[in-house]
Amino acid sequence: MDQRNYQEVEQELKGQSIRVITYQIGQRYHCHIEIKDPGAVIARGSAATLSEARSAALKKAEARLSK
Amino acid sequence: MSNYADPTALVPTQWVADHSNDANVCIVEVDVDTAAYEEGHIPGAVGWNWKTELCDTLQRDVIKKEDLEALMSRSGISNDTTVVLYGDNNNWFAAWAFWQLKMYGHKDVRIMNGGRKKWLAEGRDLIQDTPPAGTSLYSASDIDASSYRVFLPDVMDVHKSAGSALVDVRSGDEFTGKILAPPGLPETCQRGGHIPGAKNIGWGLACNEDGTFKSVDELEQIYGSSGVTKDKEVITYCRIGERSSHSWFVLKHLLGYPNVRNYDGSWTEWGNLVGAPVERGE
Repeated sequence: MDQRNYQEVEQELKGQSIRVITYQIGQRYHCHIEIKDPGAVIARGSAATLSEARSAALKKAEARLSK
Repeated sequence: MSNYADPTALVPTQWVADHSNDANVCIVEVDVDTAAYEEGHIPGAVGWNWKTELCDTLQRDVIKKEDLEALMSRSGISNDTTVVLYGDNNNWFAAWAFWQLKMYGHKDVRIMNGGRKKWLAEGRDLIQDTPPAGTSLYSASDIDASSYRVFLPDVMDVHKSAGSALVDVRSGDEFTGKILAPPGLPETCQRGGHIPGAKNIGWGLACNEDGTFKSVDELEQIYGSSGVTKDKEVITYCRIGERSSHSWFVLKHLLGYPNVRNYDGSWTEWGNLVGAPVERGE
């Protein structure tokens, strides 16, 4: 299956440095959020569009970091 | 793979692409995020779940011999198969699996340099189909932990010795005791801090931005400048033993340190012990 558009963006969320990683597999977009240090994935989202996948993952990450 | 001490321990992504249909090679994905494999994986790759398949699920321990034999057999791996491991987080749990396969005597096990991240970044194909269950009959050696693994009583002795080096590979905030676990992950210890005398050399320092391992010169500088040298008895640890298996791999297989072992009890053991000495701060 075709896989493309890999991108990593660093930003802050709830006072933590995170990496927002997005890519497309076939027709579906995927996003996962890593804490920059130590690098663990804390949230994931998949959707038909890039912005939906990104929003879903960021929402889960924010909830997890708020605990 | 450049001038690493064990040049067969690493393979580049292109090598894996070239061997994805090689009957003598089994590609195995092991992720921190166990949902990643289902999302898409390297064509032909088997997926192993570290939470259920690479440990004893009853008592805290590495996988049992009979369970490893079953896992290898249903993955289509025979004793002569070249096993290539890769995963997310720059191969955290791929290194964990590598460490366990070595303890059980598998002859040819390698890690894909750069892991899942590099494969994705290169825009290489992924599939969602899982390979059919294998029919091989794998026979593991009895576990040989002596040169790979260290237990609490040894760490209690070794941490006081001048000829040893304890390497805490967690983040700076975990090491100093500011936090008990990485943000977003469960806090599984009662106390924060580190084992007295340990050096904090984060696992990620061994990696380039693309997920590949740094050069021998760079790695020697990173560890040597903290006094972690080849002449010492080196012990790596983290929180549950997987990040430290990554650093163990670097020290043992890329730099060729002769005496390096992984303390997989790590901080979730030490940080819960009644009366264990703890240091805080840098």
